[in-house]
Amino acid sequence: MSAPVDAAVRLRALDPVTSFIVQAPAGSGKTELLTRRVLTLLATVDEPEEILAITFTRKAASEMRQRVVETLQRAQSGLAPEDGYEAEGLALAQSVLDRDKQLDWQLVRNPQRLNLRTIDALATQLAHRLPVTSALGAPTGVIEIA
Amino acid sequence: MEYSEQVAQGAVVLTVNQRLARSHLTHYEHWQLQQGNLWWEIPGILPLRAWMNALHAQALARGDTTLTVLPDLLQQRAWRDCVEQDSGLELLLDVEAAARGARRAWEIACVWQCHPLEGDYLPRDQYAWQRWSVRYRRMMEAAQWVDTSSLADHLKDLIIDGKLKGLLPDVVILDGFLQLPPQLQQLMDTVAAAGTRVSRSEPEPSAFVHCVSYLDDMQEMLAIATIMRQELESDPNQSLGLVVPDLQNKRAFVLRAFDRVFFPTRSPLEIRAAGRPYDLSIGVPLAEAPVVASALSLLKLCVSKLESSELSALLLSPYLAAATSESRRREQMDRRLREERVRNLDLAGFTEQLYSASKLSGVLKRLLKTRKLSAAPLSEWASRFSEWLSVFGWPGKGMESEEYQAVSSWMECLDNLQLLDDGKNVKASDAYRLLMRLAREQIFQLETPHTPIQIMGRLESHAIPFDCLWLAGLDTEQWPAAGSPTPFLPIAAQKDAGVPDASAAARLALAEREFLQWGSQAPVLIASHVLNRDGKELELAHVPVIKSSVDNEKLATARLKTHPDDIKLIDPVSDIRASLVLESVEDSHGPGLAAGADVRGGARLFENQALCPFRAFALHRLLIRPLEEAGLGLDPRQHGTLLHHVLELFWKEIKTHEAMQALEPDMLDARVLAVIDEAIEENNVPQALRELERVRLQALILEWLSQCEAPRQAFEVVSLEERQEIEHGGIKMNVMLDRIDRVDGSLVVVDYKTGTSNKVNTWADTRIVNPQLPLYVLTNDAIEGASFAQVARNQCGFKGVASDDELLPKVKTTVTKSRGEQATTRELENWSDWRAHWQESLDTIATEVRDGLATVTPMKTACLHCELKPLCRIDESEPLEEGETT
Repeated sequence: MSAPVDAAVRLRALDPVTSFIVQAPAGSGKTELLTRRVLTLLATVDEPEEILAITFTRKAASEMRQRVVETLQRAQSGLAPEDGYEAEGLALAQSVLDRDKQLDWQLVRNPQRLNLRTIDALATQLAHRLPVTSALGAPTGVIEIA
Repeated sequence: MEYSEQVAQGAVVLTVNQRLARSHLTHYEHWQLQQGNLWWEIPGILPLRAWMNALHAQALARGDTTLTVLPDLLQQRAWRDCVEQDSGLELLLDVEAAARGARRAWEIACVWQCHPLEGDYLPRDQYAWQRWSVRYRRMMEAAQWVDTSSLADHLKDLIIDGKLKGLLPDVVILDGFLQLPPQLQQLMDTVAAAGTRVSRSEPEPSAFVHCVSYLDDMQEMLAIATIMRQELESDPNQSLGLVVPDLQNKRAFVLRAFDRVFFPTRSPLEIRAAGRPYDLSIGVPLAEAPVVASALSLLKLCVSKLESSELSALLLSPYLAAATSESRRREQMDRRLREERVRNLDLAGFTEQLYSASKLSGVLKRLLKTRKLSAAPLSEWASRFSEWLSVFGWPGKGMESEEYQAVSSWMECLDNLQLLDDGKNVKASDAYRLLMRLAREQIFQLETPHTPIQIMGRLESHAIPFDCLWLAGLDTEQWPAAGSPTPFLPIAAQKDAGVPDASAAARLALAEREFLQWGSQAPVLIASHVLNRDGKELELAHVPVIKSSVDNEKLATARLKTHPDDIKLIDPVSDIRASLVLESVEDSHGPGLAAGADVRGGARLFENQALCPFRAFALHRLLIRPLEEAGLGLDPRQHGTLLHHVLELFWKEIKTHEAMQALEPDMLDARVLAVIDEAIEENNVPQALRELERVRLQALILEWLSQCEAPRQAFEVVSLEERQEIEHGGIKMNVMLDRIDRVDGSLVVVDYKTGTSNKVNTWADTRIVNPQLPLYVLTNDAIEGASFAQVARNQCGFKGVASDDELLPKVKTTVTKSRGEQATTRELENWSDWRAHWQESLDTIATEVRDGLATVTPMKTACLHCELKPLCRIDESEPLEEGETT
């Protein structure tokens, strides 16, 4: 992708201290934007688990994770970016790699540390963590088709 | 690892689990035989846990300690008590599971020395656990117990106090431990300080690692099984290992794939008899072993009731007295209970329902009189239960090895029930529930002779040597495994203590050590992963690099050369099918009907023949009846009968449209209710359903009368529920006609329907699936119309055809034919067209019936609710390839 015409808006949406709602047509790069926001945030936290991204489907969660890991691997490979827009992304990834090295996260080898999950998975996790508060007594299974 | 020499000199090898100890023992026996020895002392090779228990038992025997070990079973009970007695807590949905979770937290706290500090602020869940654990510790102290989680600490204290002298071995070798948690590390340090030489085997990975990928989980498992089968065929004397993550949940899946490859043409019974060359490290809950499932059913029958599906299973069970000699009669009883729609039975009901002269009758009658159901201590229940079972003749005769093992395991379960006896009286249902739980929790692991292929979960796989080890499912999603930290201890404290479940870094480190461990267990390591699971794309996990030795590389090259390069869509069953040379036998007809022969079924016969010739042949000629299933309330057929009866009674009295219209609304209501009550009485509707049926029918009938009958032009009901013998195409049949009305001098026939899927355009099809009215119309030239009367809430109406648009509301002289090829090409504009079409169509069907045509050629929707599919095997016949002919 060459530098998009709305590059300035995209850059603004990465500001980690402001909240955004991003609405855009299919194929315009929402996932890429979200990936970059995750990368931006990763460069600021102590543990990758501190960031939570919720997706609608499990497939989307897994794609997202793959996207982040691929970007990190690409930055690691040192190959020259194709254009300025990609260079921005790789710069973000590089700062994550630095942080990873500094804090020994091993994100590329341990991508499950990226907290990307569906809303159902989040709810299940909360129920697991709160057996008494939820009054369930124990983690319960989830019935897929009820 | 080679320890045999050291073991022979008195070294004790402590393994991470039982499986590894067994592997070492086998190896040691071979080694001794190779040395030319005929006898040897029992070697010190055992799991670490077993060693600690044995050490403690010796200490107790000589008075070094006064604490006794609390058995596992009672630990769970103790935690349950602690959770239950917690007054600061409202009700938990699943106390048993909470107790299990609390116990696991206790184990983690002990093993990882991760106790929350007193006085720390704790969130609600953790605070609750702290209360429970304080109570638990007090309970242990008061009763002088030590549990499995704290045993290591106790032994350590004893050694420090100078006890256990002379009980510790000179040399201890720890094997298979990826890591030693702090508790065990300290115990071993103390043992070493007391003068024992302690060493821990370190993996020396040198395997050649080969990575492969497959499309999905099924392809992966089939490919592994296929390759392993080839390997065994070329050299049966090798040991192959397979590690499957999450084997606990994938057990059935893995077994199915292997069975499909190793025994593509055998039934499960034949496979069991032949013996599988592979063995799974994880068993099934004892309650699921067939012989134990039967026992639990029998006991349930004695203490409460069995549901219909359980009754069926029990009647067909081979583990009861006279199961073989009375098998036919038990099948018939099963059918009878289903047809009578018996939903559940207790022991008295069951005994009453038994067929005459059953071997069970006498003993069960006696059991009914003598069985004690009063509350009693658990050990009393254990003996009552086994006594009842023997009355039923359980477990029958001629047990096979697998059943024998399950029964012995069941005996342990009953022993455990006695162990839980605390002197209190327990109700029958509670004792049964407890036993049921014990049988569910007890894992039944079949002991098989040593098999060349071992299929293991991750935890059981460590340190066992193989000629080739296969790691399945090594993708980024499953490896490193996701952690689930206990919610009862602070996460930060768990992380600091290094509990792998709580720390991603510790998990990764552990996973990598695990991979190096695997790399030291076999010369060749095959790591496979799948590309796709649940629509997610997956990658090979990032495993550490192992530098392979030159020898291993050679071994690997030789081995991998024989593996097929490209395994695409492996399915041995379809392979076999494809390679079969088939002989074709034309089998489209059964015996034809002799002239004047009696065949039952009436209009149903025509209906089924139209739907699918085989269906008609099976049901009406072979007289096959599908098994009924008892559901809640009345079934659709009973609903239909009841409605017919109500409307019959109503019109029998009212007779004409005029008389109905003359009734005042409250009179009509009263009339309707009266006939409903009469019908309910005569049809023996179960008491519990009567009020419900009354309300339902009242609303339904009033809706029908006001919306569909009232707006009609004047009519007179001339015939009601009349049985008539008619004939078509040489086939005689009895037809029960719901109703004939005379409208304006013409007769119309009406068929009540309670369903909503009646389509009148099916009468325009070449094969008519609703032939009753057409069959009747053809017998009487005076009939000018035929219609379904659909009596269903919010969808009442007439659906039919007639000679004149005015005879019935919304009933026209023609219909829109269904699209597709099933409709006739004949023009259907007037009543005589219809008659001619029906005559022709039904003649064809009648000819088919007389000829005995029985092809499996169903109409589009015929299979939807058909129970004959296992018989016609339509799902098994594969669609022909294009261009192929029969």
